[in-house]
Amino acid sequence: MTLPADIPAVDCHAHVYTLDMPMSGEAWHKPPADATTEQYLQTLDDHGVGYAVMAAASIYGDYNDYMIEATRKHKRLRTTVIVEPTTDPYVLRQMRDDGVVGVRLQWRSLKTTPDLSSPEYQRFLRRVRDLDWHVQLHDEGARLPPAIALLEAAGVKLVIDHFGRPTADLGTACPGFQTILKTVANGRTWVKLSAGFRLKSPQVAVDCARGLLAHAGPERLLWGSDWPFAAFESSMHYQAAIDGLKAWVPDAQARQRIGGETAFKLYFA
Amino acid sequence: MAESGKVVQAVAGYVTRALVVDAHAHVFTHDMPVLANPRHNPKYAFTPEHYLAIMDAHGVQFAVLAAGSPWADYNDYMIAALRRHKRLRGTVIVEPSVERYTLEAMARDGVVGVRISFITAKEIPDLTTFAWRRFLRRLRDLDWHVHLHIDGPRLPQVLPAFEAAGVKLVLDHYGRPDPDQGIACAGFQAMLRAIERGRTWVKVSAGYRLGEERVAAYGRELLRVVGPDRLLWGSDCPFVGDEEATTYRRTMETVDAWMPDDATRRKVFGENALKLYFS
Repeated sequence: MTLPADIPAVDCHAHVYTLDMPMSGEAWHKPPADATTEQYLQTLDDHGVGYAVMAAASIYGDYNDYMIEATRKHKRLRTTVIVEPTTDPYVLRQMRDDGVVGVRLQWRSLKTTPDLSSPEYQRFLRRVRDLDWHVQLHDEGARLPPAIALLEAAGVKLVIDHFGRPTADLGTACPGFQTILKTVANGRTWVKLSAGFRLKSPQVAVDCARGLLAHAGPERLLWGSDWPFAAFESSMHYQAAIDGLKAWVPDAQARQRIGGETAFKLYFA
Repeated sequence: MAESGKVVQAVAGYVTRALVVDAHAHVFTHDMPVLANPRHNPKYAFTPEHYLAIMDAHGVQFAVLAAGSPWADYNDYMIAALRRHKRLRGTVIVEPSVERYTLEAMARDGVVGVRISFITAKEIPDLTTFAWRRFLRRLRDLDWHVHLHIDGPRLPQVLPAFEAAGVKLVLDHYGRPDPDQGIACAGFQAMLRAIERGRTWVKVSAGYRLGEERVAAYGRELLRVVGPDRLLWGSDCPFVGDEEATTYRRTMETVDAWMPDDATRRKVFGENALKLYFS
């Protein structure tokens, strides 16, 4: 297979769902339309993107069933899930066999976040580590440092969503972002260059990417489209997400590693 | 008496030449774990092998085992029977939080639905919570059915949630209308409307509990309004609490009594259940 030059091979962040799926009581967003697995695969094909990793969406709670159906059917897809920390390890293993590669801590919409130092979470994180899964963390940059410290201590692989969501007025000076820059040195932490449209301005994304490239390098960075662009459905489109990577990572070789090798090693190995 | 003789003959003639499926029976042993304050607590065993012998003696080829409320989610004995005997399917009692993977493993073993019993529930749980909507969605994803046992008068309050979930629904025992109101019971009427919408079935079973005269009237009204395609005969064998007075043959006769013709018999005694539970 020859991919068109300069197209990421792996989209590391997207969501699939149908409007008739059960929504959790705390849903922060009600999507305007279905985003089916078939629509998503078509979008990937239209843009020459070969592989993808889907992210569990908090609005459907732990109804991961639709995504797992997709990864069972399509070997070019992987996914993360949202589960209770008490989930039986036999269930987690079956999920792994079905193409699940990690658990998402989707904390950004939570008022108070769970205590990762509790015995329950410590046991859970150990199970995640035993499975060679990763924790996919999405939270406000300002709240990241304590969570990162506990996840680092637990020895799990960590993937941080959307540039670490730096606090709007601080940009790269956000303590969460600064913590990320220090943590990537541990070799078990990755950061997604994704959803730049959710940051305060395009310049913030460019600045963050520059800092990450300098501290982490392309082997710790991933690209994701965040399709179907929840809450930005009408203003954002897939080609713009691909173009984003070019704006953030000017060097073509670095882009190629971010869009390909780094993601393959982490999610498809 | 002559009338009764004709009915017996009709059933006997029917079963020797057609497919018969019993949509409702129980198996258990006396030493299985029983809930506190069970609705029934039989002191004997009724094994799958004993039941299969009864099926064979009555020309019944296939059957669906119903989870029994005394044993709650100890479905294990029944599932072991499904694994051994491919002529059997079953419904189970599970918590709404049950994992999809557990349900899938059960499906491979022959489980086709979840029994939900509100018959003795003082309070009916809130079926609109995320936990319940997720559960019902999973049942729909698996193409299972909800096997609901509820008193007719309270049926209208739960039907909307089950129908909104898009899951198949099988109601026990004629929908158990209030005996004084009969077919005028709001629950019975709501059941007819649900059947008309196409995802609801009803078991014509346990006539010995509800009264044979009464169930004949319920049955005729069902046939008149919704036709024969959603009716499923079940024996409720071994007639827990009424073992001495009821016979397997009698449960067939009770339904045969209001069958207008053989085409209807074929559907109610076999074809409908085969399609719903075994395809």
